[in-house]
Amino acid sequence: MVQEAEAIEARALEEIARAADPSDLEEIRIRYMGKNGDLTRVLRSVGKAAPEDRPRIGQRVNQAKKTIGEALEVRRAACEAGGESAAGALDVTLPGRPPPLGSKHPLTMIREEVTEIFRDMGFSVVDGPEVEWDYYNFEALNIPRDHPARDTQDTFYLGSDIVLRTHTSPVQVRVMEQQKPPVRVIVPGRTYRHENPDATHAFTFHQCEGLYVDKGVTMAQLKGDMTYFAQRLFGGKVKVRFLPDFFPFTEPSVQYDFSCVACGGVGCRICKQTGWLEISGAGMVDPAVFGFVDYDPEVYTGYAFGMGLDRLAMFKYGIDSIHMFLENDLRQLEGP
Amino acid sequence: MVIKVPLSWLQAYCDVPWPVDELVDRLVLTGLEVDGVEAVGSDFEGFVVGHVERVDRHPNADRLSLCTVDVGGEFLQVICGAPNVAAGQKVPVARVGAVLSGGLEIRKAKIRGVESFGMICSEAELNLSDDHEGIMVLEAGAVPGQPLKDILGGPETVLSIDVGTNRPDCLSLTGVAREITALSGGELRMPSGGVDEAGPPVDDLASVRVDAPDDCPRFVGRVITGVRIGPSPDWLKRRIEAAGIRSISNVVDVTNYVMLEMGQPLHAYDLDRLAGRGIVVRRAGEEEAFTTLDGVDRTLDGEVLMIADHETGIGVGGVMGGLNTEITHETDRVFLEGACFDAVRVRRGSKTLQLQTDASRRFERGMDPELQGEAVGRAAGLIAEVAGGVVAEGMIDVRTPAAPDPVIRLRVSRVNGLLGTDLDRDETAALLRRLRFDVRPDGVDLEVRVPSFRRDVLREVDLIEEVARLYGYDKIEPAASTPPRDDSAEAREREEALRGRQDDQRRLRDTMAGFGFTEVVTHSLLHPDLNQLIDPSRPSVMVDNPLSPELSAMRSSLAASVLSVVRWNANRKVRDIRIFEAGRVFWAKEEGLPDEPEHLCIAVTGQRHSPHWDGPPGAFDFYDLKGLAEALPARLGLDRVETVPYDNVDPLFDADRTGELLADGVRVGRFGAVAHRVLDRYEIREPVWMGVIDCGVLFGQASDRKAYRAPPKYPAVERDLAIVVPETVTHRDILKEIRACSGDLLEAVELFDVYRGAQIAADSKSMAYAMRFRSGERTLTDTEVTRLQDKVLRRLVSRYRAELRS
Ligand SMILES: [Zn+2]
Repeated sequence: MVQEAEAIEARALEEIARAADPSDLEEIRIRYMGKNGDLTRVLRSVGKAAPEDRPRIGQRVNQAKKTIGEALEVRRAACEAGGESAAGALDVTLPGRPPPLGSKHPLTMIREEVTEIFRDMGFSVVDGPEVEWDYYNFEALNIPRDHPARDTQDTFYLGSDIVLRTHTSPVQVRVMEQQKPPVRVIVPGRTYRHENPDATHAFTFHQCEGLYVDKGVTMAQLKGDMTYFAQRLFGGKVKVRFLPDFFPFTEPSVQYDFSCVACGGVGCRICKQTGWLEISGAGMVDPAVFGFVDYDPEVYTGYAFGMGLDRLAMFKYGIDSIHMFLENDLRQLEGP
Repeated sequence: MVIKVPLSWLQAYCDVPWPVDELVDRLVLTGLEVDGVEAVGSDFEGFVVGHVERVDRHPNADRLSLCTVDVGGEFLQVICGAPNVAAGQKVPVARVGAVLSGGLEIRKAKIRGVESFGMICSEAELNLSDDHEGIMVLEAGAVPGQPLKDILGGPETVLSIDVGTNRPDCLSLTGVAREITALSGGELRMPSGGVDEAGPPVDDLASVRVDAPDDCPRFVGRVITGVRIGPSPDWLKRRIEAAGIRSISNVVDVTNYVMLEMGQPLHAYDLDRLAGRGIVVRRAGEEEAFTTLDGVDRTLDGEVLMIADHETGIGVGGVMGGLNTEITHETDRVFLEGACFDAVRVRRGSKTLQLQTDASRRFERGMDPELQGEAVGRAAGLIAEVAGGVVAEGMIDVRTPAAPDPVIRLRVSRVNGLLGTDLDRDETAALLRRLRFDVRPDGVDLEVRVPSFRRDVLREVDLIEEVARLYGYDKIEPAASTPPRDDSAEAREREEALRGRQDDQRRLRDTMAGFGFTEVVTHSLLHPDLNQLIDPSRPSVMVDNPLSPELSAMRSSLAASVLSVVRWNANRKVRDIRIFEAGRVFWAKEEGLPDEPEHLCIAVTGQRHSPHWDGPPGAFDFYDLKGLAEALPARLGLDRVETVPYDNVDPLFDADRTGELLADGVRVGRFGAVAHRVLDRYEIREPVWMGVIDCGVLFGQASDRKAYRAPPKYPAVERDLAIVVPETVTHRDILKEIRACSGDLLEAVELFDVYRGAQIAADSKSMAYAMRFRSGERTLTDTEVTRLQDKVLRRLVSRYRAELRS
């Protein structure tokens, strides 16, 4: 009887698979599981079997009933959905049911890419407050209250001693206060400038600051490390150039550029025909800054650099307006 | 600060051995940022000097004049529309065939019935400036018929150089020239401060007293008598205008000319309007009233440095002179001031007056204390040349003793140690000498005397920067650094903690994106009313100087700006929205910096998934949100995640549809339907589901060290239990009882059906649970499981009036 039940199950499943519409399925159900159905008949005859065999046979027959029932349900759902033709062939070209495609924000993606590269280079990733003491944002970075450099960093104030940080550099000072060299950190984060937004300006930026202090750190290393970073992010052909610049917290200070990632340096619209993309500032940590954190500048030297994550994301993902980042147009964010 | 450098003027002080492009590249590589290169003027083909013989009214047009112009023995009839044209003027004339800067070619024309044979030009038409108010009037000495190029010069190239705050020495033409000679090795031709002194001794004419020597370490004065105030000669006018300064009068133009040339701001006073013919340098009194040259009445305070005569203020030191002593057409004797003011004092004055001038910007950056005598002498000589008059004998020079030039020891080993270069002592010395530092070898090192015009160089490291930029950053060979390894346990723990936090933040975003959510990033600044709307009990962190009221508070929740994103997109017909933001919120504290906890905000509106041919998807509902909210902490490794009713009031949510999320008994966040009053404020019409989670708590509870369990050894027994309970009984109530009665043997319990309707009493519902029992030590017997099941049922019956559903 067990064999019989198994044979009935196999036959039923085959017929179910070939059924074209719900009425076929109903016929099959009656044929096997109706009052006089094949399987029902077997089930009734279980009582005639030897008592010690009955549980085993009963179980197998019940299982067959369940399997056939489920197959009927699944097939019925498929038929009703209309995905299959009368001949039972699936139209594989009909649209599937896609899961909603989530996405991370380009600022998140660039931050993760950048931190990944620096982590590989042995940098730790640290953090600090966005609402910051004037002391950390300016004074301890060698920008006293009456320094003209404050004019170039238009600042939001919250009282006389508190600002919205204008750069992520204050975290440098916080880290050096907490930790003796060697220090090798990056600080990705949000910064603020008191600027009315226009086509190329925003009042919120996302920066990533880097700091490396140890014995024997040189400007040549700064150049080498920035070149490694640039090539990891944009490919092995990218070159780095340093131009003299001025920041109160580094000396010497440079502006660093990457060769244009769009045209390879021959000149195009993105690099304004110069072949170079201005990235940000960098330099050797000014001894005055070491003075604020009790590092001996005769023993230690260090380099520091900044970079605008918004700008890097624009170059990396082909975004042409800084306002895309905080506009949150889902038609754009949901994927290129 | 951007300065404009006309190349032909620059070449008066140095040779430029390169084409413009190359000059620009070289300047940029050594640290002068060239913002732009602009062409001014032209060859003036077909333009000549004309003498206006007579001006008649056009017979058919009131506004037009009919001019007869002598262009060198030839008389042209020219129609002119400018109101300032007058007989006797020397003017630039475009003859027939000449081309204006806009590309217009001058032709013989009939204007209102009268023929015109040329055009009298404005400065704008000559591409000299933006001035198209009236025609340009040339100096009286110009000869009719003379080519205009002879007077105005040929086409001019003007560089715009953005000079950094650290390089005040480059805020002048001679400063830029000095920089160029450092690159070229060429000669620097400095203008002379020597002057013919033919007048009476200056001390007989004027006096200077400095009462605030800290604010004004040096004050130099000269007097020129018998001047005739009038327009400047064309060469002077043209140079300062090409450099971006408007011509005013010959004497004032000279002061500006010398400022542009040498970097020293100068001021000319009408000596006869100075009470007591004397100058006193002092601080302003509190609330002292003063009218500056621009005609604005101002109130000063003790922070401001005042230049005064013996009665009243006549100028704000280093910022702007006063209206009361300005040069007028009646001025006969000029007192010329050239001072060295303290940078901080000028900056305070400029801030107090909210007024920045070409002078104040230069003083704020630091002035060369040796420049004043030269500059005042140079200007006095030029005034005598262009305005007549004689220069009084001698100059007034009140100064605190000049500090000797600083001498800095430069260790060549330090140069190479900081830069990573391999320079020797003599190469280093040669670079500094080109920059006009006085360098002496001292053993293996150098002793460097810093000239007065480079007072930004104070330390060894400043000299290293000078070496680096002249040597060329492009010559520094890149070298990779080796990451240091700190083997202390403290360093390892610190790194572990930092990495853990980074990884948590990343997993959070990956998980949300994996759940099909789009990440948004919004501003941290918003209108304080929005903070109030969502979190009324919390005071906002306010900005003192916001860009607008809409951006005056730091956000105290993410909900406000995330709802703005929902509205913004809904307005653009994006109806199905699933977004999240992870970011900081700002909570004020009694004192000190605010707290900046990190939050996650989830928002959903619209359908569960995009429409499909298979049938409608159904609207997103509370249980979709709950499933998500609970799946997130579970995905991050939190145990025992559950939702309980929220008993307090959270104004963000609809009170009846708010759940509180617990993980291991700790509150992690809340979620629910956004309250109607909030949605109304945003004019959002569709229901919005939102969840707010405190990432700090979430990460604090999270653990990525999930232990795997061995597969079970003994079989499980499954039982279903369908009961009917009053509506007031919650799923959680029932679960609690099932768990309490079954103890460790209950492996899993799942709600598989909730039914209301036929056969069920009106205020009741049927709940069906599938329970799975298993022991880790033996095979469970049927009776044992039945006993447990009965116990559960009895408990539910007694506690919740449950009935077994048949
Ligand atoms: Zn390019």
